[in-house]
Amino acid sequence: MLFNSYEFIFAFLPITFFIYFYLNHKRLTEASKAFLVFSSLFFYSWWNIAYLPIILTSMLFNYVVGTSLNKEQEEGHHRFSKKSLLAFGIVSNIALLAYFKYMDFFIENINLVSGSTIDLLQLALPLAISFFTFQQIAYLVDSYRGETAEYDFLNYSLFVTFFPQLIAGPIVHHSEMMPQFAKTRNKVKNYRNIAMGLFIFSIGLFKKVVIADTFATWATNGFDIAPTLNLFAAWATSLSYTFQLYFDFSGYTDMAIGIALLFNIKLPINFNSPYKATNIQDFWRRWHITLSRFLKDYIYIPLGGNRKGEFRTYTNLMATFILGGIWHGAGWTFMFWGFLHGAALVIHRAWSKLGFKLWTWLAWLITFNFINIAWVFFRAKEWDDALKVLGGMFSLNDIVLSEKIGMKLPFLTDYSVHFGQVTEHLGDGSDVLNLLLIAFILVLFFKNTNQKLTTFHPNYILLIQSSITFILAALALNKVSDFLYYNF
Amino acid sequence: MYNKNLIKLFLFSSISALLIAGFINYLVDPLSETKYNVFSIDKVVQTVRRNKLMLSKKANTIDNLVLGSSRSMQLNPETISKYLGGSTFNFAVNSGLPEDFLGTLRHLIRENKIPKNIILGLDFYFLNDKLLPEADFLSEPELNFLNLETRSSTFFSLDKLILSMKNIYMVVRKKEIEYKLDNHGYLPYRVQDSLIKNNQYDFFKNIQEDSQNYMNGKYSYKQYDQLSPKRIDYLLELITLCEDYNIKLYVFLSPVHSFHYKEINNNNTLTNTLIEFKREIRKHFSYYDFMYINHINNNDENFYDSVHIRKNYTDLILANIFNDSSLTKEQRIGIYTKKRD
Repeated sequence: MLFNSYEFIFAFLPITFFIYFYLNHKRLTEASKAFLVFSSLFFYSWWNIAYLPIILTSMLFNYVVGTSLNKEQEEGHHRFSKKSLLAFGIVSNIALLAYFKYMDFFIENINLVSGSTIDLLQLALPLAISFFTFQQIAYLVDSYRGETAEYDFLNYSLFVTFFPQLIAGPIVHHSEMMPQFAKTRNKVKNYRNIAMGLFIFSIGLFKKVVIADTFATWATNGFDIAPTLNLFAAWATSLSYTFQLYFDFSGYTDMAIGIALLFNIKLPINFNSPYKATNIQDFWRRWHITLSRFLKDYIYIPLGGNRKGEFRTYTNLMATFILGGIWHGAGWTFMFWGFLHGAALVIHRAWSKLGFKLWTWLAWLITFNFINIAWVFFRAKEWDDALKVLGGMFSLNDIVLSEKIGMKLPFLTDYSVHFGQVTEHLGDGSDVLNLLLIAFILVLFFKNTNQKLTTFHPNYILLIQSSITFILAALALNKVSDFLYYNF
Repeated sequence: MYNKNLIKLFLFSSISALLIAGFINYLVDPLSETKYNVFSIDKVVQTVRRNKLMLSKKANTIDNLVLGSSRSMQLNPETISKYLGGSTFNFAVNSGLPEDFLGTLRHLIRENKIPKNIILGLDFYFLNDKLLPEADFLSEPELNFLNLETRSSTFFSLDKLILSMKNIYMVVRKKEIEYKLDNHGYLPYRVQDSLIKNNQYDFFKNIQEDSQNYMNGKYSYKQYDQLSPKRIDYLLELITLCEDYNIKLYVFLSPVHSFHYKEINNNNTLTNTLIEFKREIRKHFSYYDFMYINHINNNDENFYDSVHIRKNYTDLILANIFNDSSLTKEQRIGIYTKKRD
C-alpha cells in the first residue's frame, strides 16, 4: 500500500489509528501491539501477499539469532562462539538480499565474461527487502555488542514491521524504537503529536504528489524517451531528477515521521536540507541520515574507520560508498555512483587536511553540481542514457534558445545556436524552468520540516498551510505512483 | 489555538473542500465519465476521440468512414469524397488500435449512421499483444466496449476541478468550443507545415530519431514478438459487421520511411513479427501494401517523421487505392495483396 493512495489515507490509517488507541484505552496493551503488527503486515501484503512469508521467515530467523546472542551475552555460556553466531546471522541476511536483488546482475556478468547463456531468474524484488534486512543486521550487531535485550517476539515484530518505516525507512535501531512503544504515556492519544503528525504528513504528501511527480515526468522524458538532448534540456533533465529524488524521498520520510507521530512514536530524521551542503561530507550528514549512520557504524568503523592511517581511511571510505552504491541497486551505474561519492569524500578529506578553504558560495556550487552529475548515473537505466544526458550537459554543439531571443539576437546562429523549444522532448519549457526555480528557492531558502517541527505552535497560518497542502495533494492523488526508494 | 481545535479545523476544512471539489466534478463531468450529462453541455476536454465523436454527431450522414491511427489522420475526406461520392468522415485517432475501429463502427451503427464504405488504414504495430488499450479510448463510454477502466473514476481530482471550472466558465460566458479538426474530422498538421514552409523542419533528423525510438522499444514496438489474438478477433468482428451491413471495405497497410523499414529488417524479432503480421492480415483482407522500400518511401519530404506521411503522399495512396487514371507510371505504388485463407 502506498502512503499516497486513497485506501491508505482514508481507510487504512484512520481505522488502524482508532483501533490501536481503543485497545490501549481498554488497557489491552498486548492486543494493541499485536493489532499494530497485524496491520503492518496487512499494509505490506497489500502489494503482493506472496512475499509475506519472506519477511516473516526473515523476522523469525533474526529474532532467534538475536535472542541467542543476547543470552550468550547474559549467561556467558558459549555453545557457539558469539562471533560465529553473528557472522552466520549476517551472512544469512546478505544471502537473502543477494538472492533476490543481485542474482540476475551476477548471472548477467558471468554470461558477459564467460560467454555462457545461463538463464536469468527474473525474480521480483520483494518490497522493502533492503530496508528490513539492513535494520535486522543492525539489530544483530547491536545484540552482539550487548546493546539490546529483546526476548519478546511480538515486540521484535513490531520493531521490524511498524508500517510507517517498514517500506523505505528511516532505518531505525531497536534501542530507539522499543522504549517508545513501552512508555505508558505513549499509549494514549496525544493531541500535540497528532497535530504535528497531520502537519508534517500533509507537507510530505504535497512534496511527493505535487512536486516530485511533476519533476518525474520531465526526468523520465529526458532520460528514457528523448533520443538526444540539447544543452539546456540536458541540464533541465538532470536537475529534474535531482529535485524529484529529494522531494520524493524526503516527502516519503516526512509522511513516515508524521504517521509515526500519530502513534506517539518519534522516528529519527532522515533529511536535513541536503542540497544546502557546502561539501560532500556535509551532504552525507544531511542526506538519508539513517543510511549514512548504518554505513558508518556497521561498515566504515568495523573496517577500521580512520584509525589505521590515511591510506586505510581512504580505502575504507571508498569501500563503504561502493557498498552503499550497490545497496541502492544491482547495476554498474549504482556502483559507479557509489565510487564517485567515495572518491569525492577522499578528495574532500585530503583537501581539508591541506587546510585549503573555498568561499561558501563556490563550495556550495561545486558540491551541488557534483551531486547533480552523480545522480545522472544513479538514475540512468543504461550507461548510454547517462552518457546521453551528460553529453548534452557538457556539449556546446547543440544549444537551443527560445525563438524570442532569436528574434533579438539572430547573429547567434553564426555560433551554432539554434532557436526553438529550449526544453525539447521534456515538456512545456516555461513550466520546467519555473518549477526548477521554485525548487531551488524551496531547498535553499526555506526551513525544512524538522526545523518547522521544533518550533511547532498551533495557529491559523499553520492550519491554512496544512489544509491547502493536504487538499491540493489529495486532489492530485489519482495519479498514484510508487516512491523511488521503494525500488531500493 | 489548541492542538485539538487545529486538528478539528484541519479535518473539517480538508474533508469539506474535497467533497465540494468532488461534487462539482461529478456534476460537470468534464471528461464525460458518467453516462449523464446533467447540464447538457459541450465538454471542454477535447481529446481527438472526444472531438471526433462530437463532430460525427453533428454530421447528417457519413457515407465514407476513415478508420486508422494518427498515420491515417491525414487522409483528406474531400479527396475520398471525390472518388467515392457522398460525405466522408475521418475517424482515425491517435494510437488507434483495432478496439478503436470496432468501437467506432459499433457506435455509428447504434447512432444509425452506417457508412457505405470504410477506408481502413492498418499499421504494423496494431497487433502488438503488449500494448494496452489507449486511456482516451477507455474513457469514452460510447466507444469503449471492453468494460475496462484506466482513468480513475474518482472525481476528487485537481486536474478535473480545473477542467470543470473551465467548462463552467465557457458555459457562463457562452463561449463555443474550438475544434482543431475540420467538420469532417480532418486534422491538418499546421505546426509542422508552417515549419516546413519556413525551411525550419529537419526531415531527416525527425525520421531518424523517431525510427530509433520505435526500435528501442520506447514506442509501440515495445516487446513486439507476438500477435494479439484479441485484436485479431476485433478485426474479424469488424469484417463481419461490414458484411452484415453491406459496407465496402478498402484496406491498406500504411507506409513507413525506408530508413524505418531497414531498421526493422535489422532486427530479427521485428522482422519475424512483420512477416507473421502480413501473413495474418492476408488471411482476412485483400489490401494495398505501402509498407516496403520504394522511391516514394525513400523521399524524406513525403514524411513528417518515420511513419507519419504528408498530405501529398496520402493523396497518392488514395489515388492508388481508387485506381486514379491520371497517375503516372512513377506514381503507381502499393502492392495489391489478395486475401488468402
